[in-house]
This record gives sequence, C-alpha cells and structure tokens, in this order.
Amino acid sequence: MLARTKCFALNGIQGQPVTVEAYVASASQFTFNIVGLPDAAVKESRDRVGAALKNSGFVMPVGQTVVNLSPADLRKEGTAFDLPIALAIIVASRQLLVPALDDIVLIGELALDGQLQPVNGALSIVIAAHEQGFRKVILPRDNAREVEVVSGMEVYPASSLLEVAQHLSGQNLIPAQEQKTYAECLVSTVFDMDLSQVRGQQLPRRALEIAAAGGHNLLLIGVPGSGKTMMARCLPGLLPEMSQEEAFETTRIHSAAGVLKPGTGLMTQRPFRTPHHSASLASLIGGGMNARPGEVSLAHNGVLFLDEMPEYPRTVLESLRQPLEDGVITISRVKAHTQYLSRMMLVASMNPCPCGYFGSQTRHCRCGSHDIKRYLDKVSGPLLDRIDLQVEVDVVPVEDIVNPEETESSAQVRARVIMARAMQAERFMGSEIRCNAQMGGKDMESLARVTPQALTLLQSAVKKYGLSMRAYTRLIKVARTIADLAYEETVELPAMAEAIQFRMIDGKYWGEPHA
Amino acid sequence: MLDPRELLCQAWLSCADSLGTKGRALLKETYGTAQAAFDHFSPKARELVGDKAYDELSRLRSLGLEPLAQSLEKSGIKLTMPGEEHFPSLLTQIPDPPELLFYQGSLQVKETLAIAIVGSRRETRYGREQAYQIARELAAQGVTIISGLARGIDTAAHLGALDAKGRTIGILGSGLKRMYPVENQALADRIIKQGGAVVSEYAPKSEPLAYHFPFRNRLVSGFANGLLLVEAREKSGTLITVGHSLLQGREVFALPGPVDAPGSAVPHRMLREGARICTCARDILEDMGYHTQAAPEQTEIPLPDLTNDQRRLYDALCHEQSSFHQLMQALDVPAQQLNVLLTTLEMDGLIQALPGKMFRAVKR
Repeated sequence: MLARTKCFALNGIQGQPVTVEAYVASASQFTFNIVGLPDAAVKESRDRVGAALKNSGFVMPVGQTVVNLSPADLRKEGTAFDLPIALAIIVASRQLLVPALDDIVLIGELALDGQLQPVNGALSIVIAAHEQGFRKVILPRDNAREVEVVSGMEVYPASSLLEVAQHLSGQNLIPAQEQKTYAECLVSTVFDMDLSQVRGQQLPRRALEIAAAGGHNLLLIGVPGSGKTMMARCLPGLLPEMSQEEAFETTRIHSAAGVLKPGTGLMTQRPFRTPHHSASLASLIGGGMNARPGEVSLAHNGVLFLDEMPEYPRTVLESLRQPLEDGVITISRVKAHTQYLSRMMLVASMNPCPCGYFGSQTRHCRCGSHDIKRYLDKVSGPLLDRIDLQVEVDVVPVEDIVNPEETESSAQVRARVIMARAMQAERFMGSEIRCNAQMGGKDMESLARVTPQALTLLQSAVKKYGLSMRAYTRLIKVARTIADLAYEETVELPAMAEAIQFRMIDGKYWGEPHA
Repeated sequence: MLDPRELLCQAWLSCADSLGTKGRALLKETYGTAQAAFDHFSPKARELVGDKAYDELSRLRSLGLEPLAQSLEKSGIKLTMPGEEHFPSLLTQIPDPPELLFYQGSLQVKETLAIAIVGSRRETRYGREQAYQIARELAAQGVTIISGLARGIDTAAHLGALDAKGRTIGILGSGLKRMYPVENQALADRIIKQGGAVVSEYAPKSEPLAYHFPFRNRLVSGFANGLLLVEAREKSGTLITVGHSLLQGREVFALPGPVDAPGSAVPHRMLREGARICTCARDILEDMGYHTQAAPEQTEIPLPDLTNDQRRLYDALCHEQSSFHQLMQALDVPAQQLNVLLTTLEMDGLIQALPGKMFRAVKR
C-alpha cells in the first residue's frame, strides 16, 4: 500500500516542499530503499527509522519497502526527514489508521529509542510551510520555542514517534502550542560587559554610542592594553533589541547553520560574532559543500567583531568588501547556490604598528616607518574606506583608574541609542532601510537633510584630506546619526564637524608622511 | 675635451658584472685608456682579469658600442667621468673618485653650495620633520640637497628640497634601472623633472648589493660641501658616510635630538667630538659662509576670527602639543564639543592632528 507525508527540504534558509512517499509490498525478501537524491544523513535515516519503529512498538514491514522523496531531483540533506519517513512507513504498512496526512507538515530526527531530536532550520521550514498554505506542523519539542511567534500556524510539539502516532490516530491528542507575540519573547538580558566598567575614554565612548545609534562600522586603533576589545564587547549592551522582522531573519540563519541552542526561542538580542583571526574564508563568508552561512551572515542585524584586524589573512579581509556594501552574500557551490543576508556592523580593533606603541605618549615605538607602513597596509584602502568611524584609543592614565569619575552605564547610553533609532525608523518608514548606515546614495541627499553650511565644511574636508566619494557619503551618514542623537531635524555644522573628526586617521597613519 | 667614445668604452667596462674595480684598474693600466682596451682587447687580457670577466667582456664587446649608446639614450641615461665637462668638480677632490658616473637629469656646471643630508632609515617623526624642514629651507636658498634616495631621512630630505622647488641629487647603490627601494621610483622621477639628478656609479641593470651601499656613501658626502647627520643609531651605515666626509675634509653638522632616543646616540656623539650643531637651516648657511638670498619679509598672517573656545584650544596647543584627553581636561569640555572645535581649527589649517590622537599648533 502507498502512503504520503509532507515535509520540507532546506536550501540555505529557503524551505521547499517535499512529499515523502512510502510503498510497502509483500515480497519474499526484505528490502528497504530511500530514493530521491538523499544525502548521507538522509540515507542513514534508514537504520534510525528501523530501530525507532521497533522501539516504539511498531514493526518494520518484512517485504519490500521503497521510500521516495519527491520532487526526486531536489537534493535533500539533514535529519528532518526521519519522522515523515517513519510515519509514511507505519501508515503504508497499515499499522496505524489515520484520517489525512496531507495537510500536516512533519519534521524531526529520530533517536533509536523513538525519541524526537531537534533539527536545524525549523523556523525556516515553518515559515516556508505557512507560505505554502500549511497550517499544522508537528515538530520536536526542542524546536517548539523557536517557532512560537510564527502566526497562523498550529504547532504540535512532540517528544517521541509514539506520541506523534497517537496524536495522528486521535488516541491521545497533543495540545497545540500557545502562540506568543514578539513582545512576550523579549526578556531583559544581563550583558557581561558594561560601559560603567570602562574608565575615562570619552572619545571611544562617544564613537561607540554613534556607531550603535546609526549601525555604523567602527575601527578602534590604539596601543596594547588600552581597552579596545573590552569597549567593543560593550556594544551588545548598547544596541537595541531586534524588531520581529529582524529577529526572524537572524534566527533563520542561525537555525539553518545549527548554531541555535536547542530549546531556546527566537533570538531577540543582536548577534555579536567574534571569529578568530585564523578563520578561513569559507567560515567567514559562508560556503562548504552545502553552502552554509558564514560569520558575516550569522552577524546579520548585529555585530561582526574582528579583533586585531591586521592578523586576518588579506584574502579574508578583502572578501568582506562585497557583503559590507551590499548587505547580502551569494554563495555558489557545485551542489548548492544560495543567498544569505549579511547586513552587519563591522567592528575591528588593531594596533597602530607591529610593536604596538606608535603614537603612544608613554612608551617609545621601536618600529621604523617602513615597518609601520607594511603593517598598516594589511588593511587595504578600500576596506578602510568602508569603515565610517575610526577612533584612536590611548591608555587610560593611572589616576583615572584609581580615582574613577562617575561614568555612564550601558543602559543610559542605550536609552539615547533607542531614541535615535526611533527617529531613524520614522525617517525610513516604508522602505527597506533600518538605520542611517544603510542609506543608499540616491535617497541620501533628501533623507539626511544636511544644511548648506555643513555641506560646505564637508566639501572642504574632502578637498583637504583627499577623501573618496564613498568617504563623503559615509560622513553624511555619520553626521546624520550625530544629529539624531541630539534630536535635530537637520544636520548642522557641529554634527558634521564631529563626524569629520572620526575620519581623520587615514592620512595620519596610512597617508604619506608629508602629505 | 674628452672623447665621447672613451665614455662608452668605460661604460663597457662597468657593464661587466664580474669585472671588479681592481680588474678595471689593471686593464686601464695595461692599455692606457678604456678606448685602447676596447680596441686592442685580446686573449692576453684573460690573464689579467680571469676567465669569467674576460668572457663577459668579449661577449659585450662583440655587441658593439652603438647598441650600448642607443640603449642608454633610450632610458635618458647620460655618462660622465673625470675630465668630462659635467663631472662635478667636488668629486675630483676626493681620495677615491668614481671612474664613471651614470646619471639621469642634469649635473649642473655652475657650482653652488651642496649639502648632503643623511640619517636613519628607521626614522622618527621628529627626525623626518626636521630633515624635511631643513632641506626645504636650504633648497629655497638655492642650496642643492644631496642624499641617497633611501627610506626614512633620505626620502624626507629629497621631498623637502622638491617641495621648495629646489634642486636635489639622489645617489643610488644600485643601477639606475634597478631602483631600490622601488617605492622611491616616483620620487626619483620628480627629482629628474625638477632639474636635479639621479646618479649611480653602477651599470644601469646592477642589483642593489649590500656592499655597494657603504662604497656609494663616499659619493653622497663627496658630492656636497657639507654633511648634515639627522638621527642615526650606533652601528648605523650613516656612520660610514660621516667617516667619508671627514676623510674628504667636508664640514659635518649634526642635528640634536631627544637625549633618550636611540636615534640621537650618533649625532650627539658627533657633536661632542667636534661636529657643528645644526638647529635650523640658517646654522648651516652661516657656518658655510653662504650668502643667503634676501628672504621675503615674513609678514604676520593674522589669525582668522576665533570663538572663545577655539581661541583657548589654539592657545593651549601653541604652548605644547597635547592629547585629546589632556585637552578635554584643560578646556573642560565634553568629547563631542572638543571634536567640533578640533575639526574647525584643523580645517582652518591652524592645528594639525598627529598619530595617537595628539594635536599641535601649525607653525606660522
């Protein structure tokens, strides 16, 4: 007899409907085959399903069993097919009488004892299922919280194959999961770094605030031990929570990559990714056989932090240029071709020279000008050009550490950041743009509202420092954020002047000695 | 008047890499002139210079002088040697004058004061700025600046002279077509364009070999009437140039630096041993008895209108260069306001930002 169940295959974060057909016939010999382009993990489900059936009180049909995953030309990977395969076999071999399986999406990996294990990409599957018109889904209990905000779906979290079977046959119904609003998911988080722990450093503090408020890229350059890394790690505490749309985007990527902790719900805090400088190109950008998302995509809507930027291989750094500009990355591999969003803030830290003390007032730098040039040249001009805020960090004087002044906490700064972001949300209403840093060239002039005086100052700065067109537009964006932080409708001269101050290091470090 | 053919024959000798200074001297001793050596070159020379050099010389000789002359002309390379009209007369006075010089640009016949500026390749900002400034002021007075086109102080000295629209000569330790360091090729082109010269005693395609440089240094001091030393650590190659300078009877100046900086070690020792102190271009001009062209009267450029805060900031920086942090404390303004003040003053060209978020007033 023939039975069909519904499930979804993932390509990147895009779900595609797959029908699992099971055909069971009597035959003199036992055979069990899965066809329809299954990858290794799907092929292995043959053995998992067999054991799980027996341990859940069912039997493996003795004759011929064929399972087809249709459409048969679509590659299928992962372990989410275990549950639909097992159920299709149970129904096809008449071990269970069920009314209809056509309108229920089944996902889940089976353990040998019949328990359901969480799968990667549950959120993307449920969203795709909803788009395809499905309204019911049965999934592992550990994946349930991930999808609790998806509206219009009846979600049945199950913990074992037996539970699913009993639910479908009507013997023992699983209650549908209560749907939550996004606001209910927001929980107050305690961050491990707070700005109140940072002493002094008024300038970098200001840069962090502006960067957080406008989603700008930030470079911290300074001597060893000046607290660059510590300050960068304060950023998560300054950034506002993600909107529901952003939370969906980011959670889908994390879920597909399998880095979401089982049992956790939707991500509400912005990701803060810190790949080590030994990271490969594929791990940063995405790739591998199945075109998995890389760090730039995992940092989508959040922060990608590169500590000691010149230590990263040149090729890896240069590959960041395209996602930084476009906010999306396309990964092409023989077996897969997919797109991931990658709209992140790039935050980087670096020393000014190989010994670390170039420009320091407390220690002599031992490097020759040529050594310094070679070190700095590891960060190319085009990449540097894409970093809106560049700030020099010096060591805090000992007096300030011993007798600290009252310093603002992350929460206080964050309150201002949220207000500034509210102004941006109003400005960009009805468009794709979410923060100032994402403004495009064409709509910027009209959106930023720069006064003629500020524009004149900007033009003379461009001339004086030989800035590029990209630097010009990025300065306008930063100035717009500074104005937002002060609740100003237009970008006045002081906002522009301050923005320019955060752009001055190109010439000092990377420029000609006498320029 | 020297026969141009003698120059070419001398170039033929220089182009043979495996022929050393000694070999050339032997050949010229035997044949009398380079021309005679070329014309009467015979297997008997094999005993004088050895197999390798002999084979190379005869191979080059078989090509003829005409292609050599053409390839030199194509690259704009000219030749000079003692006795030729462009040969710098100062060089004839040194103990070990070059047999032949390859050069691009022009070697002036008219004598003016020439000052060599040399120093560390691992320079500090202080040394770089002083070398630049002094070279600039000297060149503005018509002094020719001589240096070695190396990284660091040399580059700064050449740049200073060029920015004053002055004349400068760079002396290489490699062939003219094997610029070392390569990034200074643009600088060399500028030197030639502005009426200076780039000079080498090595054939155009010679590699920058380590032993060339100390030998080249005698030309750096030999080309000049005096030598200014800016920053050198102990054991620096610059010491060799100073040694040549003393042997050649040139005046030696040294620029003092901070006493705790490694680059001050050699200049300070030189000062104790009798070098002249140089704190500005005028020191050199006066000590060399050079009559300065009347400098245009320095008119005080009035400060643009400044706000109170801008004025306070500018005054603070006129007193001493300060960090962002120090300025915040001195002026007692928040970071964002200080940023605005700094940008506006910087745009007016009144102050200058330095690495490490340091600022200083621009000299007026």
